Amino acid sequence: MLHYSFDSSLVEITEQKNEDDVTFTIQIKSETMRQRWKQVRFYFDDNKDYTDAFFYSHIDGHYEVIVRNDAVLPFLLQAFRYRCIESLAWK
Amino acid sequence: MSHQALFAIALFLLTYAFIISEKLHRTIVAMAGGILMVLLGILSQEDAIRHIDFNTLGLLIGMMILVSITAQTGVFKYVAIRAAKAAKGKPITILVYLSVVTAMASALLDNVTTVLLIVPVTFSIARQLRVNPVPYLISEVIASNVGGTATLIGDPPNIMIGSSVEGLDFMAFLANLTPIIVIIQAAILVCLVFIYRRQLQTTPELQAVLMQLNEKDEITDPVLLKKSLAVILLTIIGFVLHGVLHLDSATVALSGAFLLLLFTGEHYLEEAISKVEWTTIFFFVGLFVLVAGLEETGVIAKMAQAAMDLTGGDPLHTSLLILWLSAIASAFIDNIPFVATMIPMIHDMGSLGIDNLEPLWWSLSLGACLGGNGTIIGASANVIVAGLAAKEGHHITFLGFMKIAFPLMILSILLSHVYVYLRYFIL
Repeated sequence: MLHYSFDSSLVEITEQKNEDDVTFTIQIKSETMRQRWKQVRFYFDDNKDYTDAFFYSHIDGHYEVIVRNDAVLPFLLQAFRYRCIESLAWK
Repeated sequence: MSHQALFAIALFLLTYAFIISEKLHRTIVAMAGGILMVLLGILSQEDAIRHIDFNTLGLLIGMMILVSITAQTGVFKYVAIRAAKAAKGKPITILVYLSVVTAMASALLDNVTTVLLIVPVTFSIARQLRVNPVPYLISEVIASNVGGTATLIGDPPNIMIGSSVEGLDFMAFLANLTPIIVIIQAAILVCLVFIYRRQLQTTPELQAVLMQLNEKDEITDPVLLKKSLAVILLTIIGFVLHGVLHLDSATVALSGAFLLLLFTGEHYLEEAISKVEWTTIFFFVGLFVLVAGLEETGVIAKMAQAAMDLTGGDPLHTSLLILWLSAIASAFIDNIPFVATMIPMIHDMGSLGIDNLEPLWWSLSLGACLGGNGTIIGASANVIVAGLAAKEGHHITFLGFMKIAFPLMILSILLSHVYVYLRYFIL
């Protein structure tokens, strides 16, 4: 199983498993963290796969990201790369 | 017929066959055919270069640069989400709004560029509402081909026609094609809503979530957006006035592109130039030289004479023949080489006795652009969207597309038929 942790003073992440994908709800608590998530978003918006991760920015400031099952690992790797999460490990 | 003319025909047909077979990239085939025209002595290099329409190429390059920079601002995603929210998240209304957005964008941008901009956000909206994206993709691809027909700069056939015919400027296309295109798009949307009304259903909860999206967050660079929109507005004004100012359309498009690069700085230069679809540009170059071979050897003049014999030189019958022939041909083969061949043929019809060629040009434009909707291989935008959909696990089959799109294409050509008849021969 893939496990990750995050600094809850900067961000709050919850996830819900669907049939074909996982919905991450991301509450962002600092501008620095918002910029980091924008970099993750840019990575997925800019690649040639149009359905790997859908980013939805909501009026209240939270992000909803729907990630296809086979793209969850790349998504978390990018989140780790841009320091949106603190750790990522197989357990 | 001379040996050179026979060589030119054989080379042209061979090249055409290779383009249709898609065994090799169409640009390689067209360029190889063009080069062989010169190597075999059918054309001199000077003649070949003289026949390359640099106005068409300049217009395409200018618009590609403008769009590639503007696309980086996120404005197209902003507009699509605004449209979805304006539709209150109702899937079938979203289909109508996204189709209208696509048609309008396509009237000003290249069709392929338009669908490449709209498809990713369509997948995103469809996933949010948990509906099948395929009805949206089919509607958008049809709208891109219909909308592109409305203006001089919307579709390559129009760019080629506008570039080769004196007096057919931006405003002439707007006055002659936009009214019928609005009617055709409306008629097609009515049919699409009827076809997909039961398939596109979602829940009130998912609609409510969509209404909470913040489209403003899609704008990634507000400063660049302001510069891009200002230059696009100036460019459109330039297109509207280019006939009055005696400027070619390529001058307007390239002025807009490099004015924007002047504002944005060299940071954007490399990427903007690299995003020009050079394969498309060289495809045009090859085709212009190939068709020049047929022109210089008198083949086009003979074809024009044969068409005149068939219709008795009657302008109405000739217009309608061009309309239907272009539509059926464009449903199965690339409309760009077809139009490249038809343009000199129609010019020759002028010298063979048809006084007013205007209805023939509009028939060619309507037939070639709208005909592309007939099959999945009829236009580049169709092929691109089918490829993207398949990659994302949503297969649009040849017959599946044809079942929806071919009758709609026939409807659009019937409406065009009535329009050409009434506007140019009755009223």
